[in-house]
Amino acid sequence: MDTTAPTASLQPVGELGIYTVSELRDAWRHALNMHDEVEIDLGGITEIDTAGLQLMLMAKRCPGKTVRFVNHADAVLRLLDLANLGGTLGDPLLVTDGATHFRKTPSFQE
Amino acid sequence: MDLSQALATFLDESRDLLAQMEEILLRAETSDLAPEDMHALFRCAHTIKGSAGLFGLDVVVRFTHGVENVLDRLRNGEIVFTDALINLLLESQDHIARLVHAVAASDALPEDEGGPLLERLQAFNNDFDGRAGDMVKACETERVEVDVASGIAIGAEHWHLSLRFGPDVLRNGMDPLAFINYLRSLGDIVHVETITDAVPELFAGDPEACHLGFEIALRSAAEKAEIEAVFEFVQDAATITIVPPCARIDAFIALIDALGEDPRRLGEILVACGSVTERELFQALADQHLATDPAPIGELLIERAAVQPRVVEAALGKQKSAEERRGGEGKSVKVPADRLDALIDQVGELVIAGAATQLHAQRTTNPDLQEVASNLLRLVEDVRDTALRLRMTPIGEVFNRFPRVVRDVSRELGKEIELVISGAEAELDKSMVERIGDPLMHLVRNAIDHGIEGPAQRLDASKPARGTLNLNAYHESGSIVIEVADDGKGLDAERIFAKAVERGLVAPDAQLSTAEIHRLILEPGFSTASEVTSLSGRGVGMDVVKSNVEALRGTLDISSEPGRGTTMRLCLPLTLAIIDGFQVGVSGSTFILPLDTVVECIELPSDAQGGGYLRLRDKVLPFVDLREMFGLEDEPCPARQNVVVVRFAGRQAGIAVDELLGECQTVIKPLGRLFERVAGIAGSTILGTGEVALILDVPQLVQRAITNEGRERSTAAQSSASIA
Repeated sequence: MDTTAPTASLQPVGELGIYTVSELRDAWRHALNMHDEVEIDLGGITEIDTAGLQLMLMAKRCPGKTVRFVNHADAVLRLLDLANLGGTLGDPLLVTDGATHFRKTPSFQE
Repeated sequence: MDLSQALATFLDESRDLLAQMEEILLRAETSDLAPEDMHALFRCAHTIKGSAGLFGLDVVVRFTHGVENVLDRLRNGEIVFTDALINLLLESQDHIARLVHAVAASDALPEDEGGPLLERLQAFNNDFDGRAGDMVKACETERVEVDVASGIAIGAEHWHLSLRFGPDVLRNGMDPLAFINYLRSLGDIVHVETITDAVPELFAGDPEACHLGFEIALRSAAEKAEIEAVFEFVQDAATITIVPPCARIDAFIALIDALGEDPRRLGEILVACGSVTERELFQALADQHLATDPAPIGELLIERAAVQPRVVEAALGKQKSAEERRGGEGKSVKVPADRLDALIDQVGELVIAGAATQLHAQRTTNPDLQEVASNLLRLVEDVRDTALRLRMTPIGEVFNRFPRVVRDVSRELGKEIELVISGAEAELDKSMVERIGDPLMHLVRNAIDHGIEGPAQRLDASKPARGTLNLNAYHESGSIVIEVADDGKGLDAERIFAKAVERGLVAPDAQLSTAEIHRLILEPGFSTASEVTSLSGRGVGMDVVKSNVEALRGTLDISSEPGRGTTMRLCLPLTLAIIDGFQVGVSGSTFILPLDTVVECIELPSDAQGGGYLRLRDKVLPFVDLREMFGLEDEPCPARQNVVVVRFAGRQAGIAVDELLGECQTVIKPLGRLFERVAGIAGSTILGTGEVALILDVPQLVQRAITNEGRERSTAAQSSASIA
């Protein structure tokens, strides 16, 4: 990971749940220690539970840092819908009017 | 959206779902169901309930809810399918169908009938309720602070659930959102507010501890016990408050008190859930001195109003799924039948005009005109085919109702019958599908009632105890053939003949072939059943079937073998509107034969003139002479006559004519009442020249030729004349 770039991109895959939250939290914390902005691509998430959702909420609460979630997998979207947290944890890139649905974010922006 | 339109959609959807339920339930009788089937079954009832709720059809909701509970228990493996349960569920499904039907017809809903059914359904729920009931008592005394005795009544018509989970819930393997998701099986979640205030920062908190709470508005007809049962496993590790619909504001104040969170914020969340109105809440809070300044709505609401609509929907991919839904709808379009009929009519006129154009073009010597005219005609033909195909529906639509009929009727009669359906994908005109249902139903019931014997009788005849009823459909030369075949005892020719004599239908000394005797059961007022059952045998059966089938320009054939079974073969034209015709001329008049029935054309052998049969490749072919039949003697008989060989329902016959004029498209026009009964004529049409031509009724002509042949042959045998 390029530590000089202001933005980092993470792509967790598999489960975002009680069995993986600790591990993921450490990874995200690590990225946030080095970057002010972290973009987390959720396209590879196959399962998510309440613990995973809570971790997403926690990530949003990181003073001085910005965490963005993009490319939500369907499983994630369904849970966000259920919890009515789409406004907080939804994907901001999807709503830009008229713009193409920008799904793939380059790993680093110089 | 127009509510009546939405209601129509609901009715359509319900019918589909009910049909699906029936299909699964019938399958459950013979084999174990896969989990998906159990879920599908539950979803059917659940969807109907939910949609009925939207339209305020409380009777439907109440009843379906009872059914849904049982299906839920089945799904969860708490109870298993038994014959009694399947019967009960089928009856319940019938009752829902009746309710839906009553809604469609704007009749009063037959509510009373549901009561006894619900009670029986309840029997399957009882132990469940007992268990849940105990739990409710425990909850009510200890934690659930619901007091509806005093205070201002408020109008929210949903349950309000307040959930606060303890820190260990997640670690203990419980997933709060899964519970909430499960609430959907009880009703509609109107609103969920996730309480995230306690969620720690990423760097500070333990991600495995639960810091979340939820406020939920749930529209459901469920009992409180059922809602509580959802949270049974977490009740020790969570604070759960359930406020019933239409509770008083005090209940919410108590809730706010008990939670000990910021009352203003919590109040706003309650407002967001729609559980209380803003005015009521702040009034109440002020009264209780919980909130000191009655400021306008709080930040949360403003924030919510700002982010809600597009952002959330887009982010959730709702737009995407909406598009997918639209895409799915695009695959089929519902069109009112009268518009289709109008289109077919217009295409019919177009066909006539096209044929006229073609005719006039041919009379000119202008090759360009002839070319465009034939091009035009070809296109018109394509349009015609496409237009007719719009109305084509698989016959399976009719067949689908029979599994249930066979099941019910065979049970009633104590017979074991297996229904085998094949060819359900064969298509025919929608109007035919609608009109063939009743005749078919009669044939099926007849086969079960009179055809297939009881198990004991079958075993005596060394047949399997279980009878088989075959429903089969297939296309044959422009017609669709539908067979109802049983492996029962077959028709008893002697008994039929005796009965016919008794009823005065035939003379006692009449010489009839077996096939002719079989056809006697189609005569009005004939019934072979010695005892009259509730199902058939009222003497109004087969003749009605026969006339129904004939009204559709179809035929009904019977073949039966004693001890082996009976096959009823319905042969119907695919469409009632437009056909490809074959024009023939007889003594200056033009007649039309449906091209599909034409097999070949041959020259009439000189030695066969006037006779009833001729030799065709070493086989006897009976034929009718149209000249003779219609008395057309205006013009002298040409030196050379032709025979059109036609086939219908597996039999061939010849039709002797003067000239062969070739193919043409034919729009069938009805003959009108006066000529309805003219033998040998099925309809009329207008030719390109503007002349009227009669369409020949091939089935009738074939029948006539064969009967003639029988007679001719017997006279021929008597005079020992050789066959041509």
